Amino acid sequence: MKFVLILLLGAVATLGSCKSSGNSAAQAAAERCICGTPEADFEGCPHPSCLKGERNPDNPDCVCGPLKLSGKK
Amino acid sequence: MNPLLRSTLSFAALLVLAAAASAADYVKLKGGKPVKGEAISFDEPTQTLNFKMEDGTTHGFKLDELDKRSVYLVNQSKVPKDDATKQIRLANLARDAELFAHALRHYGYAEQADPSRKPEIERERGTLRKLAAAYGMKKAQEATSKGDKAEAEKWLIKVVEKVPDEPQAKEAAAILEQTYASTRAEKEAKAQSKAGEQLKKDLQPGKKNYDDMVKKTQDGLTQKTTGSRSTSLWDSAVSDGQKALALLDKLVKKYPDPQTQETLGGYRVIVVNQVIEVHLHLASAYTTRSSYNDALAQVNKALALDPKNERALATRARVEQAAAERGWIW
Repeated sequence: MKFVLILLLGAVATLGSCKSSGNSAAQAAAERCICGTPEADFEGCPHPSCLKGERNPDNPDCVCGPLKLSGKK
Repeated sequence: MNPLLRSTLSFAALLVLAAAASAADYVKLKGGKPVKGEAISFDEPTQTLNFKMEDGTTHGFKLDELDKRSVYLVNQSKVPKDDATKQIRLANLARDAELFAHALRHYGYAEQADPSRKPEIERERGTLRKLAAAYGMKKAQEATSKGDKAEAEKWLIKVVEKVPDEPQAKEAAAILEQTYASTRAEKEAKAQSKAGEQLKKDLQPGKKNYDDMVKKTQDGLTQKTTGSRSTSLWDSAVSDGQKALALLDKLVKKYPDPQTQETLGGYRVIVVNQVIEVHLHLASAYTTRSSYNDALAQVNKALALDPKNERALATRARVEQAAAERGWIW
């Protein structure tokens, strides 16, 4: 039982660590995914996923990372 | 099963489902309709993306059914970072779809993959700069026709900073010379409109510092951004701004009444915003020169004035990215 709880806490902590280190509203706003806007097309999007070259799954206009082609030909 | 164990496992299952949902992909059809699901494979001979829809069915989308962003997305999904030829082709595709930041990233990858192709890549970057300059001016003109001065200025500054050697940059600089200082003079006048005569008199040296700062900022923008003349003008502009802020600090102590404090607070916001803008121009210039530490130092100075400034935070993220990838070279 304790082992399961420790595992769960570990999973939650790991998920939490995937979030941005900044927690203020401004930080979040500055890191919002602006993909699809002319500004982002021109000079890039400051969203953490986009900066890592990964696609933000919450924004249909984001093209910062590849599709996950699970059965690539 | 123990109730605690059952609820723990249920929670874990929810987490897994949430993670799976967030891993969904999108493509967009011509016309803009988004399609959500999972990309399975791409068939080269027929140029078809096989896509598992949300309802579980599989659908094949020909590339010419997708909008230009999704066509780029599909192509970038197939191209390895270390294949210079394909990265150049991909960059050109992104560039022609007006995805300039993406194109720059791919040119950077291509150059890293095969440095001997730098001259060819630089030629392609040259074409990108021409297209980007035209695009930026088009955006500025659209904003102007809508009466959105702030948006127009934003695009004019992007053109001047990012593509200073293009003819449009001269055009943008000429427009900025007409509008930049007057826009800020209006803000400054509004900020001290409620000030009494004595306060206006006390603010005079600060107003001069502010006006000097604005003039030097404008002059720096209308020079070549990457030149040392611009950076020295902006350094001097920051110094003027700091003098104005020091005066405001003194006046805050001299006038403790709430109404004057409010007026001074409003004035301070105008000055701080301008100083932040100058720091960000400096950061942009240093980034262009690949002086990333200097660029970050300027961004940090901007954030010291306003830790929540969105533009400064976004600029820091972009500078850090440019430093890490060394690919966002205009």
